[in-house]
Amino acid sequence: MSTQEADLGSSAAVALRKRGGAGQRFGAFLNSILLQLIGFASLFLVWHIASVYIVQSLLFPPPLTVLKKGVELTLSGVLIEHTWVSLRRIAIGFILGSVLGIPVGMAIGSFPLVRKLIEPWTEFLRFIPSVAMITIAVIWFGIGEESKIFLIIYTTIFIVIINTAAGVSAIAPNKIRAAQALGASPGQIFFYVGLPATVPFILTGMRLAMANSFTTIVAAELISANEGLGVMLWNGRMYMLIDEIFVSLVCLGMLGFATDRLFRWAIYRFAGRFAPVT
Amino acid sequence: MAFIELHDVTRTFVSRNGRTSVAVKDFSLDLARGEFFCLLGPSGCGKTTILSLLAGFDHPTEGEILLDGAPVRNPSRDRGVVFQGDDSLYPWLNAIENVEFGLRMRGIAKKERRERALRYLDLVGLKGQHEKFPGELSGGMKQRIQIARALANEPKMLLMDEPFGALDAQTRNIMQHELRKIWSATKTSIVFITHDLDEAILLATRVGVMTAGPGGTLKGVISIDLEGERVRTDPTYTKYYATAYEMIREEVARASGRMAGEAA
Ligand SMILES: Nc1ncnc2c1ncn2[C@@H]1O[C@H](COP(=O)(O)OP(=O)(O)OP(=O)(O)O)[C@@H](O)[C@H]1O
Ligand SMILES: [Mg+2]
Repeated sequence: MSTQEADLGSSAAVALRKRGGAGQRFGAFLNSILLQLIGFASLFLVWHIASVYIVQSLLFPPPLTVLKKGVELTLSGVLIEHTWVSLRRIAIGFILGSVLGIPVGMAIGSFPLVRKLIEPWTEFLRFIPSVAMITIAVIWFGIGEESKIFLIIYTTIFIVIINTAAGVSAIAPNKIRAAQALGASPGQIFFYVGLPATVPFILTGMRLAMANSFTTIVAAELISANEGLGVMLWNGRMYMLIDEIFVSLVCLGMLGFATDRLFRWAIYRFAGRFAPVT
Repeated sequence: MAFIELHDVTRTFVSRNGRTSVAVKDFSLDLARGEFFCLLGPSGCGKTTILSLLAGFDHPTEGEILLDGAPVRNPSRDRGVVFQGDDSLYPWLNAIENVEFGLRMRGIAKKERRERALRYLDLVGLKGQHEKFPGELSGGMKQRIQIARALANEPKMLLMDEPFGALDAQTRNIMQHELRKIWSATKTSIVFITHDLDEAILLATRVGVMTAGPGGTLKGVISIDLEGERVRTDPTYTKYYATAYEMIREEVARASGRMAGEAA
């Protein structure tokens, strides 16, 4: 950050700095994309070498075999169906969990009384992993959608609450005081100061929760479900369909990577404006 | 009845381990409307504490603060504040959006508040920087955004906590000059905290010197009767400087003596 930059003020200097910035940014962008492609290529290369030259077993298929299987399953619609089911469960649970968690987190961060009342709940429940809740969720809600969505909400909500509350507590008191002295009402302070100051923390909490959602959905589907990527993994085990297991593993990796990128982009995009600069 | 009266104001804080510490003790002062009061004192003597109390962010543990005869209870947009440090700026808003924040909260139309914000940004010498975010500005630039933000709201009173502390000598001179101009034009009452004696005598109608903290109080007040443009070579200026310097020197010596004692 250019905080130490001299206050040159002259427009020529500003223009120069901007041009340099854009060029540099493009270079950095190419650089990071290229490096990532190389990173990915090396992953598949190592996998290929390990499978074809070292392990040499049907139990560890090389990437090309898995790719072929993946294309086949995609064309038949099976892979898309399983992926879609898992993603839908994650999306619904994740959105509900966040929508419930953000206001609760804001309230905990804003009011000491609410914090004292709610903290026992969050501090107790967040240590019971969602995976441990699978059995009871199935007993309560059956093996259909409800139990999965319940589990994703469960795995999302506490992380979002805790991060949101931490974000609210991290607001510098002078930011609130400044708004008060400028004539803002309590409602305005909430919407124009509290909320924007907390956005980066909320997004970070959601990003962590998303990673957890993947773990939870696979575990839940492994144990009891009729479709989804976890079911695909389970069937693979039951019928020794090694290639299919690898297809669903790669699929999970790619989905997780893509959603995480999306969050990182959102955090970067908003945090450019919303970063808690001290 | 004075415009603002502080009667034996004491503020104590209770730390987490239960120890109480006195930030300000028995501070009494009357301020007239339209006055430019500079508050001087060694670091940690309680200047910021006094300012928070005047703003209404905080309340005296003992004593009272009256504004037009009524106790100060809450912050108000009549009392604009320039904070020490830059953590009061909104990093998600750019320079001009920060400056127009108060106007926006009041529901002033976009065009008008833009114009006003631009005017004050120009005034503090940030022409052409209004699209930048606080994270992209230097310490001194951020300080000037804060000043523009407080001024743009056009409060009846300004509370400024070392507002020019982060500025270079040149910019500081310009800002001092501008503030004097605004003050003479609007007769806004100003309480201005500074470490800089020179600055205090250039600006103030009265200078208050505090005793060393913690638990500082008002040691004395010097009226500065200098008409018009003030110049440092003026013999009267030099006389005021000498008087105030003597008062402060003792306190700074006491403060550093105390610190050395604590360190040992
Ligand atoms: N919120 C607080 N809790 C506990 N102690 C505090 C608090 N605010 C201030 N103090 C104490 O009160 C005393 C006065 O602090 P204050 O910030 O008013 O000093 P100051 O004169 O503004 O100093 P400086 O010139 O360094 O800004 C200090 O000893 C400080 O530790
Ligand atoms: Mg201070």
